[in-house]
Amino acid sequence: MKNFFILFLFSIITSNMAQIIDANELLQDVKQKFDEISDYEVDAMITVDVNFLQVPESNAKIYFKQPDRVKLESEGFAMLPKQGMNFSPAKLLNIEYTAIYVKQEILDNYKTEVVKIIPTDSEEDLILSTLWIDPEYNIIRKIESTTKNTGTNKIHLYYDDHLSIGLPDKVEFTFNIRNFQLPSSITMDFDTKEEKPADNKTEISGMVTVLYSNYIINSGIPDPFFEEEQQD
Amino acid sequence: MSTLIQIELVKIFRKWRTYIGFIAIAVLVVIIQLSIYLTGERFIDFAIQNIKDTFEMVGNFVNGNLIALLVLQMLYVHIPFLIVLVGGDLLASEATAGTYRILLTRPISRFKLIASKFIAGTIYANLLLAFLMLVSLGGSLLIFGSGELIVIKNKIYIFASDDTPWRFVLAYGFATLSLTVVMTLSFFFSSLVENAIGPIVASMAVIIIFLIISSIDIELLRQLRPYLFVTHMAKWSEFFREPVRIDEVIKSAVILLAHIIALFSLTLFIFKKKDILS
Amino acid sequence: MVKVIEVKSLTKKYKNLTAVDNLELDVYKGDVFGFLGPNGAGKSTTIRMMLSLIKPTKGSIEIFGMPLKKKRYEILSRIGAIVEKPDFYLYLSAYKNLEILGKLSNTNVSRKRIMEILEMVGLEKRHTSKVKTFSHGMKQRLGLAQALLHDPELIILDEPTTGLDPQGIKEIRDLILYLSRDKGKTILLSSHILKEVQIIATRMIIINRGKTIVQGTVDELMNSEKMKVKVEVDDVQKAKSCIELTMWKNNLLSAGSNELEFKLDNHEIAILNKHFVESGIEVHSLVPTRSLEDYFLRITEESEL
Repeated sequence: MKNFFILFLFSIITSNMAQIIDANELLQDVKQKFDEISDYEVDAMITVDVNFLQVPESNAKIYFKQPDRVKLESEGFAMLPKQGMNFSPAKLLNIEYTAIYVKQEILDNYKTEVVKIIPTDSEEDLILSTLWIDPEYNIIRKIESTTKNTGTNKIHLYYDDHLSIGLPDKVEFTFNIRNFQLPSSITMDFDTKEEKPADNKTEISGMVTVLYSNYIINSGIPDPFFEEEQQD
Repeated sequence: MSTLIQIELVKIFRKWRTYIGFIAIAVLVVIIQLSIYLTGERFIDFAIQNIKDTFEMVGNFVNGNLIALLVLQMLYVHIPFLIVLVGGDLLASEATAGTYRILLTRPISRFKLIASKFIAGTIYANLLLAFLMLVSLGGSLLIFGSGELIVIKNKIYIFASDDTPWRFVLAYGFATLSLTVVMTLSFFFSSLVENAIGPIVASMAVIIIFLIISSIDIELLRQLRPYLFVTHMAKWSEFFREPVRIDEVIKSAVILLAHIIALFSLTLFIFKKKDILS
Repeated sequence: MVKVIEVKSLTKKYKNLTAVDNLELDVYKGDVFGFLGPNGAGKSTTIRMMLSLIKPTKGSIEIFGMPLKKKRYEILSRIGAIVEKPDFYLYLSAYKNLEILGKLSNTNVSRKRIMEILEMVGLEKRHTSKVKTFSHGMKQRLGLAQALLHDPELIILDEPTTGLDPQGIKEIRDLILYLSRDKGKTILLSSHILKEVQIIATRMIIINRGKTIVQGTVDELMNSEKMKVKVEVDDVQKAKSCIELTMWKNNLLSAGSNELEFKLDNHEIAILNKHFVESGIEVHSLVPTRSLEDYFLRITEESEL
């Protein structure tokens, strides 16, 4: 009986061992896939749904070039959360980190591998990132990050027409920032004072949804393009 | 009645002091426009620094819409002072000049005289406002162009450029009511005395005192706020938030309207009983 | 005779001052009615009440047979008035002032009419000048112009000659006579100068401290009245005994150390004088004073103290 139990335990461990997937390998595959794109430009429709912020839906063009150059351009107004906009696997994986494979999980009916990344440099703002990687297409379907300064955020990526090239059609960026210092009012209101917290600090949370269309890939955007009139 | 109103308008617009308001507005608006043009970028950057730490933003916030809004904010407190210059003069000047005697010995009723003076004064107040709208909104849009309007209040609002015209129109529409209250107030004071300086100073004093009370953040004074008409005058800014609390706007509009009716009725009552001794 | 103005027990009280006290006054059609009284007697207050500028405390005013209280509009349409000093919109031209007042007069006042009136008062050449450039005399004439603008039946003039030079006073007097005789207007004219009224008025009233003193035709009041005559003589006793047994005794009012005071009419003065001279009494002087004039002089002086 005792032997049987040991055998059983062993079989479990070994069967699991057989399935152990190298987290770094997964990440490497994702990076490799993404590296096929040296640059892109895309039309983005941005919807911001954040408390303490009331902005209209905006249309913009987003330009990207490896490894992490981004430019937001709009005829009118557009805004994107910096973390959401800057996101690229290349950037994420450029830092020194330890990757741990966690488990397999079904996300949106897709089989994904869950990997946690912990930066080894304690100076890094990022504390922990959890990635849901689709090993079939070598794409990231979801990222959850915790940072020192801005709290936690979630990036949920949806792929459709551009799945083959590994670029999302829709991204939902959910975030939560503690101790956000509200800007001083530039209006003189007599009646809205009581609505504001006393120290003008608040927690902002919300979601920014970006719909991507008309990707133009590898058109060779020159570097200086990202320098000129960076409208920020 | 229309003849009477016409005559009152002639009287208003043949006086030099009538144009002080228009000149003051033109000068102030140009100064504000110029200073925002020169330092607006920094001003906005400073105001939204924290947002920019978190968000990547593009867009030209220093545009005609913002300038028009800032002008409205800055001048909303001060235009009343220009209006009382004329409103306080409406009745008192007839007493000072002694012209009541040639006016009221004509076959016109005192009610019609008061009403036509009130209407002429209101027309003046609103022309002043229309002029402000023209130079601040029209002028700014022409010079600086349109764009998203950023408003920082209890939260940060960014309104698409095609979402602003109706807000301005309604805000100015509401301001019409506010300034008519001011006009009526000075008109009321004007009926009490026989020189124009008294009503002008009295109206200004009332407005200043109310403004001070309404801006001091002490519990007792805060409780007074809903009873001060200046609090309700500020409700135009409601149109620059989302959602617009329309019930608040209507409530304030009704209160302002009640002020106008009450002050006008009081003026009429006093004037009908008044012995012309000047 | 048609009454144009009928004032009954008109009273105006301010806190502790009675400005007009139970005043009765009748003005008939065609009258040049003199409204006399020293400054502060209540003339202006009465006129202001007639023009609805002031509300009476008590009493009634009927003009053109209608109560002023109820028919203010109809009545004022038919009255032209100057109340105290002539004030206008100084920043407007003479023409513009009249144009405005014309529009308020319930009648169609044409440009031609305005120019006619301005010509009549001699201001046609200055019609584009702002009133603030006008002298007092010019304003007074413009005041008349505005009162006549709408061709009113009743003209109320409150001290119209104040501040005018003798030439100006004469011009106004002539104009009043013209309006009365040639145009058939009824005129109420207030003044604190008896002479002024006496010359042109047909009837008059004298008031003081808000009360009626006398009222009647100027003839009745001024000419048929017995006068007080002071007779200065060399010997009062002799003079007294000389009249002791005559009818003159009844006319004697008082006797002083060197003068006697009689109440006489024009005719009697000469006869009395003759009587004294024939009786060997030296008459040094004969000073007649009409009691009304005397009285008026006194109240006027009092009011000016």
